Amino acid sequence: MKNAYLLIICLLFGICIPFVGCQKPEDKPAGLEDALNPQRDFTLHDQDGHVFHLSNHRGQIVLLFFGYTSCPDVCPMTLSKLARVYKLLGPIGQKVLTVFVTVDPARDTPEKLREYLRYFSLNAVGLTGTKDEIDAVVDAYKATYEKVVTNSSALGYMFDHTDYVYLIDTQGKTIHLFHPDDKSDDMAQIIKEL
Amino acid sequence: MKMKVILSSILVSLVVLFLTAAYADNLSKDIFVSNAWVQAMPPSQTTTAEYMTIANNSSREAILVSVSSDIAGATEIHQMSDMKGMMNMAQVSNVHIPALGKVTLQPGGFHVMLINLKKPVNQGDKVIITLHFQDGSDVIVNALAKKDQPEDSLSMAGMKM
Repeated sequence: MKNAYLLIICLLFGICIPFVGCQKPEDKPAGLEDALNPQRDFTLHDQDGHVFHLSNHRGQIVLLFFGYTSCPDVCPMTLSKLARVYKLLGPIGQKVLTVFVTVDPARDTPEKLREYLRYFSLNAVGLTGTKDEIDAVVDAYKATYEKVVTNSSALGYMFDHTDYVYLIDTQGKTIHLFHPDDKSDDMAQIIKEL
Repeated sequence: MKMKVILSSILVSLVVLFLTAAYADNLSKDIFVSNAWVQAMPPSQTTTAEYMTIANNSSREAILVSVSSDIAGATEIHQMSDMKGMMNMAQVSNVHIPALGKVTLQPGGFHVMLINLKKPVNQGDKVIITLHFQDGSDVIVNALAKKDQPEDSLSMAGMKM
């Protein structure tokens, strides 16, 4: 019996410790996704000015990404990879919606979001809102971003931001986090298996 | 008179030899750039990134200190790093290419930032940039603008963690 208690304690520690330090999908324990946006809903405005409720997209698979259009590296890298995922998915791609939430509402006007996402040939919406509205979504998904003001760079300011793509199932539940290292064919395979 | 001609010839030869040696000492002939490409962007975007592999075939370290391009108002070297799921970007003052080594600038790692673009960078465009090294040598690079990034360039391998 004592051994059984010990085993339970070890198991609990085994589960809790990686949870605290967990960031990469491969490090995370099963169940982390349950902690992400348990409401399974959020509200922002899309690139055409329409109100967007996640809950209106039940039945669709959602790929959620936080970024900004002047992001020169990880955002185009991720979006061009998602474009390849859509190609690999074929007809299944029609029920997959990419949701790009800007963390830079000051510079990312709806027009800019529209042009940007059209460019990458995705079935995508670009979402924006007030800083508080965006922060609420960022917090719900335990994502993070930080404005970095640079004196030396001509960029003025840029953002450090979470680089995962959240895979949300047809019921609004986050079921997987894609890391920038993940290859498009592996991502397509995971989506196909849903 | 004949002696004078011979001496002058020797002197000229020595000067030529010296100049050749000085030229050979310049790193530019030992720097080879491959797979240079630029992220093509929609017209309203005023910033993009350029990537490439810089090989240094000399026995000395090459230090890339700046980059310039007529297409951009400002050109900087930046480095991305993935810190526990957060993508950080920082400007760097140089990139060291070890002797007989190479450094690959790739998404998720080092890149050249082309800021305040003077015209859109469309797929298929050729973008000329000049690499400036610490020893004073310059290398001109012809980078192809691509909309889709090659999958093998997306690795985060070798990134500062």
